[in-house]
Amino acid sequence: MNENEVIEKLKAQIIEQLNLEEITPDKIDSNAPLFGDGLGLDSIDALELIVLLERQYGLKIADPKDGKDIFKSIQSMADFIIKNKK
Amino acid sequence: MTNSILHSACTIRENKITLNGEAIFESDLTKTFSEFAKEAYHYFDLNYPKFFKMDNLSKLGMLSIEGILLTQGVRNIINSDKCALILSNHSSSIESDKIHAKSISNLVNFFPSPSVFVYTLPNIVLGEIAIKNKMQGENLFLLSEKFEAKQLFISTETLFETSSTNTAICGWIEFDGNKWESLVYITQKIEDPNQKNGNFMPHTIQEINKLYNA
Repeated sequence: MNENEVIEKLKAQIIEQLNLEEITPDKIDSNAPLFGDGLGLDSIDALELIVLLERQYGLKIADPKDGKDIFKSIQSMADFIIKNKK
Repeated sequence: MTNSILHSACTIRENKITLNGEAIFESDLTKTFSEFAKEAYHYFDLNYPKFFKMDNLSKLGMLSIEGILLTQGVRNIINSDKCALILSNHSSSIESDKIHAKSISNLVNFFPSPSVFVYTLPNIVLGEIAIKNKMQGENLFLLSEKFEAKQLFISTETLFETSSTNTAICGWIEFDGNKWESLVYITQKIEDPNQKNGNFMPHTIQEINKLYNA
């Protein structure tokens, strides 16, 4: 998968996993913050994203401190997936 | 026992929301609860995306409170630490419990969902309602075999007598798959012993049962 395909797949998975009703992939800015403004996700959503990475991509976050950068935006999550997916 | 009145009541059953005896929203009976809840969300113009992340028990509780808040003047009296929330049911959080149990039953594909797990307690519905409506009073969730007016009555009267609580939103929020229903009512303590009840019904076990059986 190329970067765009990863981003589009990730958007669809996040919408489904987090029950983001009435949000479609085209409404999500890949560079917008996931937490706070942007999509307005909360701490439980953060845990769901960790589970999503592990279940869908087999990726674990070794150092919790990295989470802040990985979950900054859809783009940063996609970068992490592309870099670490075997 | 204090002098207290029943202020208003909202029931949700069979895809119909009834406020003080009058149907205010109705959806086709062929609709699932999720479909009904989504339509009711738009009817109430909730604009609260977190609603869609809740389990069905919390959704039913949220909609019940939105219904009763349509009663004139009620919104002003609940945003206070003197307004308690006392809810009850039979099935606890069984639906979320089952979903969570299923997610941890396969040790190979072991991926419990945090957003399901947080709803594996019935009192979470109290928190969801309190957060949405900025309620800061006492709260209590009771379990019973069936609707128990006496249990709700005693709990409310105890709060009226022993705390600063002067208003309570009480009721029954039951959700077990296809079997679901809710009743919430507001009861208020009359502080002035000389004050008449006006057109309101007295807060008694008999009157609470009448609300449930209406």
